[in-house]
Amino acid sequence: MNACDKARQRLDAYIDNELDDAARAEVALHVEGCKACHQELRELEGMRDSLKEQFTTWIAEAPTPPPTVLDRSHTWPPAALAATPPHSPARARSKTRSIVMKSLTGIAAILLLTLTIYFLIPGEQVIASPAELIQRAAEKYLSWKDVELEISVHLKGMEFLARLSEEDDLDPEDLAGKLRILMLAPHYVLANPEGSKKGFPLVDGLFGFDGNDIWTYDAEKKVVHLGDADSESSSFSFTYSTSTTEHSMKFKKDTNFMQFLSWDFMKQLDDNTENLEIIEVTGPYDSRVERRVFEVHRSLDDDETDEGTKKEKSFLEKMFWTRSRITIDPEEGLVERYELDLKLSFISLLSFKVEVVDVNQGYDVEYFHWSAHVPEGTSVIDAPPPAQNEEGEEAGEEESAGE
Amino acid sequence: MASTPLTPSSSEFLRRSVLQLWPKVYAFGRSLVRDPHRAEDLCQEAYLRFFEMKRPVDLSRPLLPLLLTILRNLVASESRRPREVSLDAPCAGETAPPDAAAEPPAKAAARREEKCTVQAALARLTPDWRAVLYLRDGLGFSYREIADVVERSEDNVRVTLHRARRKVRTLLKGTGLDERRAQ
Repeated sequence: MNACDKARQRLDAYIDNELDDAARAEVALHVEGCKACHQELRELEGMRDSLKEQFTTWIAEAPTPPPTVLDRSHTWPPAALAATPPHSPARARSKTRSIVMKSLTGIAAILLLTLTIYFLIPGEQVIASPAELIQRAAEKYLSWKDVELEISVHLKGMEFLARLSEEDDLDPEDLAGKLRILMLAPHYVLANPEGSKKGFPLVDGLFGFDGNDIWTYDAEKKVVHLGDADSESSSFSFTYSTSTTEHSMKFKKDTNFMQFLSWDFMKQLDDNTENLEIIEVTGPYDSRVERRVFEVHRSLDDDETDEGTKKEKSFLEKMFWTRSRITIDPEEGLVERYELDLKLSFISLLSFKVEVVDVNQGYDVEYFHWSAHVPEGTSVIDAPPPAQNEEGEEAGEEESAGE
Repeated sequence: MASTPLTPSSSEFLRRSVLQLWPKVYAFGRSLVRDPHRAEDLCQEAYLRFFEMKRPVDLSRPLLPLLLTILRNLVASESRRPREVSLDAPCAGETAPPDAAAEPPAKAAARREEKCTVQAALARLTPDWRAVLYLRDGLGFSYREIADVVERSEDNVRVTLHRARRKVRTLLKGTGLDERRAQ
């Protein structure tokens, strides 16, 4: 790497004042003596100024806070906060008294808690274990009628990206793809892929499945193809390709889409591997909004063959491991986020994230109908997928969805 | 936490301080969703959630990052589909600057055009990229502070910022704006 490359790599941090003194001086010295880099810096600063101006305009264009906000603001900060400042002089004066009061309050609270557990909610723990919490959240999740999820898949890995970039001048960021899943009952979903055209060729289209049938939307021809799923086999595949690789996703029929969020699924994982560990972690943000976060660590250890014997993996294969992170709102009993990272040693190769976008908003059928996401004038090939819902609740809805 | 007791007057001061952040939070909303009306709705919701937070707020720390984090979280979980957002939101440059009367018409037109060009370039970035750019170039946040708001690592912020700027430059190339600005 020559001096210019090195300096240009640091120009962003330079104009952002994010370099240490030595690095800053080094860049400044180089830019001073290099005409091309000097011009590069000027352009970068010019662009930053344009952006700054634009953002200032946005700030200036802000409307005044609406009456709802102003009204609500009158009760903030809450009285409790004003009454009990933790480090106030008053508090310091009554330190001894405070300790006694705190101890008494603590003892009373423990007694009350114990009595409550013992008499009022027998059999139920007040502080749920990770397993119970996840299980409860998953059950609640599955009981909802409609759920909107956002799934994003990020492919990483230096070699992989370098190869693609070399061949196709592909920006690694373009590999990030998002699928917005609209879910009506556990088995009926529509996916609206967003993001990069390069990463996901179906970016302007759709694919959906209800556990039995799959349909795809061809954005170019404005056509929806229905019934692409193989009706004979117990599973169907969905294949998409990038300019360099082809990927295939296999969905098992009647697969409960949310099963991976359930504790049962975790247990299944547990059965298949000896190295499953669940620990509770909290980030600064999560603790602030009272979320509980769990991490499931699993190393991809030796595989078991069909005969039950272990097939030893190579050293490289043993370097692979996965980490799942589950964020739960204990109050709502809601799994808000599920993240999975596949790593090679410390390099993240693949990350997969499912985020709850919304639940139980009382969407009408049209919201889930593909035509709500497909431009007007789209033709439909074949009939819409038949209603498969056991309770028959969705039959009418699907009928109208096919109109 | 607060280092002094909250008197009614300090409460009022805090309340005003929080409300003064409204334009910056709103602009962050615009960076994430583009549609000004939706940004306003989201900003309102973020404020209401902030006021209703059950835990005491750490008043010794700046409140802006917390409000921005709440807003970002709201955007991630709000139900309206981004696909339905109008891409033809009025160009920011269309609003006259405060000194519009004193500005010659040609210069004013150039300014409007420049703003529209920048806005069009921003519209082509992903929301994450726009958000990071806004936090850095709009609010002057450090990489560490940005990382806290967008819940990413500092390295990720550094790379995202670099890519976002590179993309904006690519989009502005050919419009002549980047050269004019560099002069």
